[in-house]
Amino acid sequence: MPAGRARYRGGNYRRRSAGSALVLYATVAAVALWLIAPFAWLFVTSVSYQKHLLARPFTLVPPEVTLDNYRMVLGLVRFHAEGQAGKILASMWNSLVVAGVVTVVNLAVGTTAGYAYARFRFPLKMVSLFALLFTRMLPTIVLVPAFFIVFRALGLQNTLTGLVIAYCSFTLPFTVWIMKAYFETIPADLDKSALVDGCNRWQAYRRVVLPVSGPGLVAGGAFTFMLCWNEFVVAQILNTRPGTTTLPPVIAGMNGQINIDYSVIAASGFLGALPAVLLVLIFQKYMVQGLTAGSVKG
Amino acid sequence: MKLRESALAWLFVGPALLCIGLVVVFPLAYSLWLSFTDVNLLRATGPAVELWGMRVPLFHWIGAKNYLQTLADPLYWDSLWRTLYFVGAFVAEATLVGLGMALVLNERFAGRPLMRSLLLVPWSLSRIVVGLLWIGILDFEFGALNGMLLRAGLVDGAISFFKEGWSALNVLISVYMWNQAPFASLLFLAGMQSISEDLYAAAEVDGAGYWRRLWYVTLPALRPIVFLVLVLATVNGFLMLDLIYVLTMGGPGYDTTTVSWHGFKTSFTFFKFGPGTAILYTLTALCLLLTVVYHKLVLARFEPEA
Amino acid sequence: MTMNRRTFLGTTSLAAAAAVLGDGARRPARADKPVNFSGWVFKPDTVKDYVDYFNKKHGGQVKYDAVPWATYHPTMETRAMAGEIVDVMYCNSANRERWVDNGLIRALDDLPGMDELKKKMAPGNLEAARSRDGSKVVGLPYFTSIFILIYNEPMLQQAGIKAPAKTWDELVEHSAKLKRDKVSDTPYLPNWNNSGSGTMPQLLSDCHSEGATVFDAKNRVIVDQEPGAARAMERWQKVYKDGLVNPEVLTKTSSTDTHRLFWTGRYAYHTNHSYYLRTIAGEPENSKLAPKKAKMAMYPGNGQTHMFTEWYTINAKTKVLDDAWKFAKFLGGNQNGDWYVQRQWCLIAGLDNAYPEMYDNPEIVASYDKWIDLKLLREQYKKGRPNNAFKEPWFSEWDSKAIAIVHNMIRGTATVPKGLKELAALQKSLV
Repeated sequence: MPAGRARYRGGNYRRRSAGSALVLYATVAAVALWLIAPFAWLFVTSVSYQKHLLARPFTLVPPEVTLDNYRMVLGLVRFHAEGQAGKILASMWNSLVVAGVVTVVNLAVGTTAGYAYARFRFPLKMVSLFALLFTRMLPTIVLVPAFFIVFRALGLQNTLTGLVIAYCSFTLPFTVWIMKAYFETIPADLDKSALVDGCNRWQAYRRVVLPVSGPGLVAGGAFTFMLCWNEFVVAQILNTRPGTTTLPPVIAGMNGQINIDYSVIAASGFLGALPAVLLVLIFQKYMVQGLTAGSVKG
Repeated sequence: MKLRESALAWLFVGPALLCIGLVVVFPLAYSLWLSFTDVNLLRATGPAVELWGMRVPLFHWIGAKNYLQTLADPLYWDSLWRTLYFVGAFVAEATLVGLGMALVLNERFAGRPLMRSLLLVPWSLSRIVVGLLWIGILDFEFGALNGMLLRAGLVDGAISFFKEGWSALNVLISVYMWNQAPFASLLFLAGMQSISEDLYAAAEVDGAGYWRRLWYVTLPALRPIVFLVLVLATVNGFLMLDLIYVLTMGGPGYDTTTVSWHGFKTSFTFFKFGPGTAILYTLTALCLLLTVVYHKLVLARFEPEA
Repeated sequence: MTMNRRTFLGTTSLAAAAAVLGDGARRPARADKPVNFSGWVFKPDTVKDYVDYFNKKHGGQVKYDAVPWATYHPTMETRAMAGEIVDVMYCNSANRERWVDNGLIRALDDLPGMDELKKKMAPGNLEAARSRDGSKVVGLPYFTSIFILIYNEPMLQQAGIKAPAKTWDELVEHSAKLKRDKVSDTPYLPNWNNSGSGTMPQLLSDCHSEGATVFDAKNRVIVDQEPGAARAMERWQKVYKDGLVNPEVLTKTSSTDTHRLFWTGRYAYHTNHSYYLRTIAGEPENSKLAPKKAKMAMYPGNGQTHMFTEWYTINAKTKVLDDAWKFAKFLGGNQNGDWYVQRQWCLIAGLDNAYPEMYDNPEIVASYDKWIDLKLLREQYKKGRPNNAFKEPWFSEWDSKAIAIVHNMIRGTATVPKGLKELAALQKSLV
């Protein structure tokens, strides 16, 4: 089968009439608008002055473009709410540390487990897999009261270590699941031939399978990072001491504060969204592969 | 050989399962215990166990009192019905819009790769940012939508989307759908790409138009994915908290208070961890039920190896 | 805690992890002992100026952090439970007794200079400063608040209304007329916001002005037995149903947020904390009703309104009591006879003050004269009615949960008798 046709399976592959092409492109434009316009508007507001947002009649193109909002958020200018806005950069760093460490832990621990679930038959496999599935569907919030009390006893509240531990609770099951699905797409013959060549199971995994698993690792890693970067409720509850929390609670804390213009909050929101959006766009090919493989096959 | 392999397998999965045991199973069990106690965090120092030399308080067992109290509270039942509506509407919207977008993106047109990238944007945003940007659009004073409607002369005064419970709840659902439907689209697209071309060719020979092919070829082939999307959306619908936090805080009145918000408020605004965990545990039970359904419907049916 | 091998391993591995994540690095060095200070967001830049002033002038090491109003009290409780010690904290009246009961904050009677401050405080405020059993003073006043009626004079004149409403019926009548004549879409702006400073103080004020008692002598909620309360609620339902109120007000998250709507000049009447008239009538850069186009009138009905005081409190676990007290006294009293902060709040924000001698200061009198009829305000203050129910341990939860019930009554999703019964039942369920 020619490659071009294989890629567009399911779609109309004949020439379309002008009318149906028009309908198609109009629909595509509508979908594109729906997907991107709200986020684009966030950017527009973030480079506008609040007075122009409030002005009526309304204009889609701001009469004046400014970077003042970003300057305020980044602490480059003094303004009346700098105490609140000034938390953005520090909390971004916290987000980065937590998300980074959780990603590393997940890949280190979750990948090996995913491999075993993909390749081995062993007692209690199905039971533990079911348990894994359940933890994936668990409301994380139900764990938080326990984390709250236990972390208090351990002195882990208001620490990034505590957040890393808490975040593993909802990322690890996902990672194992995604990696299992990914390894299932790698032909088992690959490990078998490595075993025939005299490798043991561990060596076959380490030296033969892992090196060709880049896309899976990227997908799992990027997904974990995104989940952690965006998490709000757990950080909001566990890390309340100023300077210990992550970005989403700080943005939420500015939201609705009357002394801060929406345009300033929009700037912090756009800045905060950027890393995850870029990460996902850069690795989209692998993420879509990994996630759909992980989900479609269960 | 078999024994050695299973031992090896356990070495491979051991660290992950141990971690999950520590960070999921233990807190889950501890929260369950809390839901049967009179835990009061502000006040007392009750009984405790020593775990690795650390003092973990236990509080007093009071039986099912927290659950009985929860079930006797009309607020709980109101929020449960509201949650069911929320979940039902959200699942329907996310599935239909997700499917619709997937059908469009599955067509052949210039710029298709770009469109697929755009699909990832709403989904990769933090829900705090999602709420924030929709405030920018829906706000009574500076919202872009109100601005455009007013300018076009379609309304006399700005629309207050969150003033009334029914409208606030439905706005909440639609905003969440905006965030989540793209993921459903991704799954549908993956499914559509695994449908054999021959089926479409055969249908076309039989003279089936677009809609008939959609009905008789595409949708039946997507059935497992529809199941998957339904279950994932249902779970996500039950668990949603962060959007409520930024957009409505459960109000006006209790009109956007769902079970998870009710449990969150009880636990972390009034610090009643006993009743709070009891409320949240009823949600957990629902999720367990859904896992079983998912397992039965999706895994067992479509993955014969399982 | 005896250190066994497992403990050792546990703590060292945790310490190692913490070191990796840089948790340790952020802790301040042991040598200095800063006073941690938190408050809700109300003019945080002004507060920061006070703190800088104190640090410079009195050699303090105060570190200030502002928390959003809507989540302030739960956040502070969470921080306390997490073992963090915030030495000086704002606390509103609804939550203060909860904090006393649970050992979060300490009594101040034994601290040097407290007795003099007690003598300076207005009797009503001093009474409010005492704990439930009356045995100890547990806070210094940040400010005291009364609800007032604010009216938009040009708009009333334009509509041919000569004097502001003296009764609630008149207010409703005026509003209906203004709407009919298309002078204003929503002439009345009550403070029905979603936070602790909105709907409930507004409810207490309106009940008091109708002569209704919300709490009996034993502080039980008896609002369901009071015809005056039913009258007030029926009126709220009516003005909402008739579209005399902008429904957006129910979604606002602070009184500050609410009063900004009045800046636009599109409303005729507003009920809110007195100090909001200062920005409405005194800040031409923000408000269309400045200077002095918006005025205060005596509260309708019998003129009584709700009065309460907000507090500076000291953490019971503070390790820097001397410094914390010195700073708290600077905020909530005077520092070597200088009432700097109390005076500044009068000048900058127009907050009502618990120390009557503030109103002898010519600078302060001149400042109030720029935006309000101070004599009338002091009259209204005398009619302010404090309640003692806020000292009950159930009060903060009742106060917070009652908002939704009241909103349901306003929006007509619950009938008035049903809603009032729910308010009483809610209190019983929390005892």
